[in-house]
This record gives sequence, structure tokens and C-alpha cells, in this order.
Amino acid sequence: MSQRNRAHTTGAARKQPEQAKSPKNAKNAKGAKKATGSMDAAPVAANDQEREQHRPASLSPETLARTLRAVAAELERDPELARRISGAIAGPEAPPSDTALRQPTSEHGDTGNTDEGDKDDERVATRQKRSTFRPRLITGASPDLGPGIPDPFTLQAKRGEEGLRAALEELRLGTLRAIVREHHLDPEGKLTRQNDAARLRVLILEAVARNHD
Amino acid sequence: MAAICIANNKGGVGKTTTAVNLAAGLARLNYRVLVVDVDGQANATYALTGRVHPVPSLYDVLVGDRKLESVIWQTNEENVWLVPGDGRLQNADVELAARPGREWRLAKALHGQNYDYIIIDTPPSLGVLTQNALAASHRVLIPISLTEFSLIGMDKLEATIEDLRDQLDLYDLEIAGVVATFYENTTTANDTWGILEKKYEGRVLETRIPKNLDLEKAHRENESILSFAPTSSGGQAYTQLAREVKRLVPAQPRPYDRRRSQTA
Repeated sequence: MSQRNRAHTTGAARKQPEQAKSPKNAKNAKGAKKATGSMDAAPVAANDQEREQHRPASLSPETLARTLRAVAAELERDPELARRISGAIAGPEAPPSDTALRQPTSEHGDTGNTDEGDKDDERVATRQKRSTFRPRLITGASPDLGPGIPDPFTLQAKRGEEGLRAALEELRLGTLRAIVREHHLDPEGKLTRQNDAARLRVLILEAVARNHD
Repeated sequence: MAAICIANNKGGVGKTTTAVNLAAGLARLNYRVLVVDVDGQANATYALTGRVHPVPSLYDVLVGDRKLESVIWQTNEENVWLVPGDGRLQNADVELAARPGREWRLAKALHGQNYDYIIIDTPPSLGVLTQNALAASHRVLIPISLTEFSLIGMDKLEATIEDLRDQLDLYDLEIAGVVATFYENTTTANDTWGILEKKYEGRVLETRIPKNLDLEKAHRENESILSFAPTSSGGQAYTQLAREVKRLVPAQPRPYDRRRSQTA
């Protein structure tokens, strides 16, 4: 079998179209085409060597496990990061966050005032409306909150207003409702009956602030 | 006090959903309810508290020497308390395997607790943890999803219950009933329901839990369907189930005691 024929069966030969995509590689590919006889495989081999040099060293299983553990710990610590990554994993069909929806919709960076932009906004809004239930990465509330229903007054004393606000952001509707119930913050139960976590957070923050004053 | 074990060796049949929402339903009938999360996946723990794998937990009671009282949590649901589970329970089967009286550890830990109902959520297996849950219970409630494969493996669960009854003298352990979950008005579901009625004559509960997205949403919001969407089809079904269970398994006005069976 001649070297030219053999090149068709090697990985190096199959990689050529890919390599030609970058200008540098395109040059190499041209060179390879010009070459004849025993010389024709040399530029490809050189190119492979270059790629090998730039490829990061493969991670050992231990390093990989350590890295993934660190990432998992960070995700548990930072629900916002977890939410963003969860959104990214869910793909373009599920916008990762509110901020992503507010990003410009066209290549030119306009905010979608054109008809096309409006249609895009409508499509996004419809999609959002249709799929109000989006899976998310579950990280759970911080273990620092202790067992049972968290006490916002203690949290305020320990972490200050910003700390309390951050802690409440982590909590879901059920826990917020339980805090309001336990501390009798909504005697008539009007807000508690609504499934509105944001308003419950405000109610708790206001009650704690009043108590602090 | 009546202890009800929610068991099925099949996964994904609605055990945790039933445990959490039945507990909330009974609590709304003014009963004090303790949920015990024996499942290492700890989904009931998350659904009732928003915490993922808290420590200490039931593991420290079963495998360690911690007192049960020290790991009882108030939950997001009024009148519902929880003994949380965590991921370490997944190894507990192995760790308990060589211990004498391993099936009785939960029953002993619960001794003297004064709640109206204890609801025990089990893992989808028939290992030592599920045996602990069964040994600690007076009645078993079996959720079965009305799908093609739901009846496969049911005989195994029944055989395990029979074996345990003989081995541990659990003469008063009975199947309270079978509750159909994920119900949709389809030919498959209705046919499966018919087979269930024949197989468990008189023991299939009237309540059918429908397939309802609000049930999943409620878990995500760390509360029961009765807090999240009480008027939804799922909410109404669990309200009805609580009434039915109250009728089938009345709460006894005395503290938990399972030793009678042990010494019988």
C-alpha cells in the first residue's frame, strides 16, 4: 500500500478538514496538499505535535474528584450560582435567569424595539408562561440556619439586615410561610394564604426591622 | 398512637408524596403527626423543611446512640414534626447487618413518643431499613402507581411482610390498604385499578391520587399540597385520603409502644 493510500485510513488524514478551519491550519493544509511522496504526511504530523503541546494535561481521577467536590460545595453555598448553572444546563429553551431575559435580543445590541424584537419578547413571554415549572438544582437551605423553622430575629441579630435578607432569599415558600405563622406576623392570614414568596419576605423583613427599632 | 408505614419496594410510586401529604392531611384534622424519613434520599426531609441531608439525623439514632428526641424537628407544616433522614442512611443497611436486634432499632427509639400518628417513609427496597420501618409500624399503606409495570414485584413486598410477621411476631402488623397514585382516566389506569381491586379485595382505598403537577410544585416549595394548593385535584385527594386513613387506622390515645409484639 502506498503512503498516499495509507493516509486516507489514518486519524491524521481525517483531521485535515477540521484543521483547515483556522488560517494557520489552512496554511498547513495547503502545504500538505502540495507535498508529494514521502513528504506529504510531515506537515500534518507537525501540526499534530503542535496541537499536542497546547492540549492541557489530562487530570488524574483524584484531581478531577477534588475539583468536582469543590464545585459541588460552592453550588451548595451559593444558590444563585446553582440557579445560573441549572439554567445553563437546561439549555436555551429555559432561560437561566431573569437577567438573561433582559439581554439584547439582536446582534447589534438593541433591546428589541423592532417588530422582530417584539416577536422575540412575545415568544419568550409565552414560553415562560407555558413552562412556569422549571426543574432546578436543589441545594437546600444553609445548614447554618439550624434545625426546624429558622428564627428571623436571631438571624438579624447574628448577621445583620443584609445577612437576614440573603438568608430569606434562600428560603422557599413553605419555610417563609412557616416563619410568618410561628411568629404571628400575619394574624389575619391574608398574605400567608397567597403563594407569594416575595411579599412574605418583605413582611418578615419589616417585622424584624420594627422589632429592631 | 398509630404508626403507619408507607412502603413499596418499587421506586417512583409516590411514597414520599403520600407520606408528606397524608401527614399534613391528618394534621389538618387536628392530629399531632410525626414523620420519620427512613429513606437515604431524604426527599421527605427536603419537602417538609427545605434542608438537604441534615446532620444529625435518623442515621445517628439507628447506627449511633443518639436519642430520637434530639433529632425531632418542627416542620413547615403546623402539627407535623419530623425525624430527618440523610444520605448516610444509604449505608445503614450494611452497617446494621451484623447487629443483634437490628430490625427493632427504630421501634425501640420511638418507644414512648406521644403523637397521634407516626408516618414512616421508606426507601424503595426491602432491606434492613424497611424492615425497621415495618417492625415499628402497626399498619402498612402501599401506594401503587396505576401504570403498566406497577403490579410487578408486589408479591415480594407481601411476602416480606408475611416473613417479618412470622420472624418477629408482628402479629398486629397488617396492610391497611393500597392507595392508587398517578391516576389518569385512561384504559391502562382503569384496567390496573380493576386488577388491584380483585387482588386486594376490600383493601383498595376509595381515594385515587391523581397525576397532578401541583404535587411536585409543592415539594419544590418545601410544603405539602394542602398548604400550596389545597383546592387542586391533588390537594382534594389528599384531604380525602387523610379522612379515609383516619377511619381505617384510628389514632389511639396512648403513647407509642411496640414491645408487646416483640415479647409475644
